[in-house]
Amino acid sequence: MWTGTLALMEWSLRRGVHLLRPHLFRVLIVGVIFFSLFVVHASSVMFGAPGLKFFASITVLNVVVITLAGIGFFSSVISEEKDESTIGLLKMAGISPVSLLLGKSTAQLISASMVLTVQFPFTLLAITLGGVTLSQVFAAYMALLAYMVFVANLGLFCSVYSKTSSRASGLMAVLLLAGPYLVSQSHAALVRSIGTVADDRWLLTIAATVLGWLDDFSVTTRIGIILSTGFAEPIFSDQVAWCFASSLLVFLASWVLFEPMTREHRTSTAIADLMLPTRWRTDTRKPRRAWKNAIMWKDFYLLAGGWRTMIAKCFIYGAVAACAAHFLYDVGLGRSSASVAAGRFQYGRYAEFVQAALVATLFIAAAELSVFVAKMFRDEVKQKTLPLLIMLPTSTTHMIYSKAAGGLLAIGPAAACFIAICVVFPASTESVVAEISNPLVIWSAVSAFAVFVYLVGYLSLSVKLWAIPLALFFVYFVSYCCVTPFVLVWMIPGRLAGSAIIQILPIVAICAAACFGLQKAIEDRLNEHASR
Amino acid sequence: MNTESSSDAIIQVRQLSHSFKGHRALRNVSFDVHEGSLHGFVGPNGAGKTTTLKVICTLLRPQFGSVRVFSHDVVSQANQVRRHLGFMPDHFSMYRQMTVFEYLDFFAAAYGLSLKQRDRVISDVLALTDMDVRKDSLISSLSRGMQQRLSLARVLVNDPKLLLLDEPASGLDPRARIELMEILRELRGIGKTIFISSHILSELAELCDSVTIIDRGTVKYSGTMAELGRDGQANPSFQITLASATPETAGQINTLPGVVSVEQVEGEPTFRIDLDDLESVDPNELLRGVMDLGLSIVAFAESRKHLNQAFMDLTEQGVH
Repeated sequence: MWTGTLALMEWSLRRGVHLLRPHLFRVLIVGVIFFSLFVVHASSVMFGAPGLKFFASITVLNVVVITLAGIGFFSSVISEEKDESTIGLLKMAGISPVSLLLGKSTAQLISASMVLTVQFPFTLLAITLGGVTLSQVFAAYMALLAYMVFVANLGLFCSVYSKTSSRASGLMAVLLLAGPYLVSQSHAALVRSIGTVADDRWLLTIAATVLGWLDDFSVTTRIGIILSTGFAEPIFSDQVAWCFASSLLVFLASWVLFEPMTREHRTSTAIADLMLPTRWRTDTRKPRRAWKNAIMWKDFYLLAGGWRTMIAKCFIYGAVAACAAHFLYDVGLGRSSASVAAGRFQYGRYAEFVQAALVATLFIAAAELSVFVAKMFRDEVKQKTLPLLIMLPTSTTHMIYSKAAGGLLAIGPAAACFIAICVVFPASTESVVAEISNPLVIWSAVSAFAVFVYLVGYLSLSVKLWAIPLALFFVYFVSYCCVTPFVLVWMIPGRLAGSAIIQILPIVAICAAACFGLQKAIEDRLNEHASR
Repeated sequence: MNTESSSDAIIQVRQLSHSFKGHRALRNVSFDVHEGSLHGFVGPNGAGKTTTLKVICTLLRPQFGSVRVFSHDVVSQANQVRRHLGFMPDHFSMYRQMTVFEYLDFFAAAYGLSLKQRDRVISDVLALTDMDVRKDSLISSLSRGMQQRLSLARVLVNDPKLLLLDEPASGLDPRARIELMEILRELRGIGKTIFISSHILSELAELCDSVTIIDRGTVKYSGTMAELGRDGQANPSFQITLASATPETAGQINTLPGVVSVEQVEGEPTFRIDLDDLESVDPNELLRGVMDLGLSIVAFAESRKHLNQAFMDLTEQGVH
């Protein structure tokens, strides 16, 4: 067993060493750390405890990077073999499932842990800058390492379970991004409920306790504790133990699932399953006719799933919103009119739900659009159909925006839910809109999202599954780098002048220029891919 | 080598050069493809065939030289060029979740055809490629040969005057290959100009009117198949097959007037006879002379260099 494991691990490590991208990524991380150091040093005249600020920013950055690595890097460890249809060859080579899982995932883990290793000496400077102790630094890195091990194993599980890398990546994104949020929110809601309902609801108490543990064991909670003043806890915390234990469980689950999930009949149709599952299709139905804008039609049907998927999504999103409403009302606000009369049903909480629902639908729409953009070029490259599209008698720009239009149709259900919520709850919507009516916030968010979408499109032509995580990282990094100088140089004079346009215009202009530049870069990359 | 520009040349390639990361893929490539012809483009692996095809079909910008298709420059008038040609790459480019009909309908719509036109065109191309019965099948369920036919049908939906086919028979079984060649003959019959890159020389030899042989980025020959057959032969040559032959037969034939040399194909009663020149020697006289020697003739034909032989003679040895 160990021979196979070591051979695979060595091969994976060698391959990683020969690739330029991981080295560039590490250099980028170190660059960010240097920049943070510079910013902290520059601002140390104005703020106290610069070491703590520096260390906090680096720790948060690491959590973001590890989470994104989970979505784009760890989730492809086995599924990339399924995509390439090479999993059967590895199995035929006599490598046992456990060797395969251990060999490939350990190599990825070692490669990823280099990101923490290269930055560690620099972060020790935080102690010199003041505000942080050595035990805080060690505790934070131990928490991050444990989180990385957990994310790596969760990624392994997703890649074993899913048929393709894109599905594994999607599942991982849901688990890592939505999971902690749901745990935290559910825990909060249950805690509120326990205080408002009869004591015999022991099931809720148990659920609240378990969710509380999960919430306590999250890396963000642990980092928050570590960064608090007067931290004096041991380096090996419950969070570390929980991460290692759950990693082991997830690894065992991957091992158990490996054989049934990697059988030939599951993987041979991987390419066909890239977008719409073939089983949805029948040979007997009436053929669909292309629209006048054929490219938009194609992407709407093949990538977004067409009308049937749109209708299904409307029901699913509606059902999710209804369940959330019921959960909130039943558990958090009380179930009878008596409770309303007793004052438990508060209008503020009701508006909170509407706000959450509106944010959720916007998030779904944004996520759907991002995933669509990440796939719309990559799938053409993968299916080698890009030359055929480029050779159509239309400009590359027209082709790009026709595809994007198909994606905009895909977010129809989320938009429909958004509108439905606004129509059904007009009063709550008004209060929500009033809260976020600052045009600077809205325009900044819209502009940043536009840049993010273009960046996803561009990166999808270079880095496959990493497109969304890298784009998120870049937008986060650029925002981090630009916000402080921007506030100082532009926004304060604009605020002093009392003009919203002076504040908004440069943001919109910079983002529009970035979008235009990215569009040209996408066109060049598409033409380059088509000519290969 | 015939690279003179002529009025009916649909493709004009002039001094085309292209490099990839320091490797010169094409060096001063020049040739013409004439209207209505079936032009073969042959060369060893890495000779520059696909690069040339990509430049012609506007996917790759030429670094040096010029390429004109229907008198349109492939760089500055790419859209006009694209309207007139259909390109079939050397790999299957399919949306496997579509049916055959949907796939063709998509491309027809992308070329701006109305619904009515699309119905007619799709019906025509399906009939031409013999795919009518599979029109509602999912592409993922088609065999390799069927997918190749579908590729060809796709190429035809915008009724292009020029078809560029990159290794269309590669990976097909013998039946599918023969059927494909039949379709190509039909297409030539309806007036399409076909530029076909292929490794299968025997089939090209039967099919093509003209050929360009390329090796290591340089054109070694470009012209008609007839000229290629005679290329490099100083004297007219004939091949004669007898019912039987003795060791003396070659010597006997050599004594006939106008005969320069006689060479017997090893182990067979077949002789290659080189004559002085066709001006002074009549092949009928040669036939009469052989019969007068009391030899029984089974076959008699002008001896031409086969494409295989020309290919071997013109291209260099070694792995490219």
